[in-house]
Amino acid sequence: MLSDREILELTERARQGDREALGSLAGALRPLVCRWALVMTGDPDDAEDVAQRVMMKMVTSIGGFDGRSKVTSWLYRITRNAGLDHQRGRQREQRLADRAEQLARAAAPRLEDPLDEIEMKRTVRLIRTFLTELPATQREVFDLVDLQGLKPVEAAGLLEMNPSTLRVQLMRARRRMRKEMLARGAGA
Amino acid sequence: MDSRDDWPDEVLEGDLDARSALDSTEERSAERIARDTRNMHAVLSAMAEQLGEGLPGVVDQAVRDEEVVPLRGGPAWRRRVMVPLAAAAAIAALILMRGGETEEGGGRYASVAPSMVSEMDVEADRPFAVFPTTDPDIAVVWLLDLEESE
Repeated sequence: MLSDREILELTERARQGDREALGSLAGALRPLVCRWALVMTGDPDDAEDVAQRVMMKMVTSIGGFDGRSKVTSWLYRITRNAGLDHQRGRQREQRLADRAEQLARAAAPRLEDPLDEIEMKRTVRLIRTFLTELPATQREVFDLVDLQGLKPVEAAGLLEMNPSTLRVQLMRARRRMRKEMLARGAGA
Repeated sequence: MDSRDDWPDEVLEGDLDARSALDSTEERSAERIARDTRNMHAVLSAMAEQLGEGLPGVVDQAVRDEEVVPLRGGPAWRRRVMVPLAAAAAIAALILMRGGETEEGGGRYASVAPSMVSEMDVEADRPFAVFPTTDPDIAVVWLLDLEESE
């Protein structure tokens, strides 16, 4: 991942029409957009659609980005809007869970610190719970603050949410996820 | 397996580093949560990376094909803003001069029109144009919708 400063420089060059910079920027931000899309939709298939639409939007609209906010904030808003279009019923839950599990297992070799089988199994189950049982807002808040390490106030800015509301959502998400973690055995 | 749901807030809701009040079992639980959280983050990141690589090449193609239009300041922006602005100004001038002609017999626009045309204050980088009148207390401000002109 590029530093904030590098992203800023690439964004500025991309806004001025530098295609090489735009390509580098798109490449650098793609995993982040996919991560957001995955968390927002809870479904790898939808996430792929959403991420693609977001990246296309970014490429075609970067000239219209006014540069007053961070490019990641701008992109997050686009991802959210695209993600909302993909909200569907709960009958797909089983398929979603299976697909998410499949993707998580396939992604295992990419881990810098590979997990052993037991840890991997635990983590896949937790991700399954996270993606299929938590409401979308709680997923976003938990991912941004607890997993990606943003400060709550930064996350509130990204989500355009009152910090107090974010805190409530975060507590609910933590309570749900941490119960799940502890229920699976604190010593495991 | 421990599925009790009366864990203290520090474990279920709060900062995992705030462990001073926890007993050893709870501290192990806090460590467990921290490890699970790290693992979730790592696996989700790997999943996202994999998803990103699976995106069809249309995005890369779009990067190659797309002509990026800067929001302001570039020649393309000036063209898009200035052409409609110039057209609008010309129409306004025409209307005002005609108004002057028809008011030759003693109308209120007769003395205003020439001044408005000659002193029009229009700049490309501003989202508005100012038309002064002979009355120093009155100016016509023309707001431009930049988004629409883009």
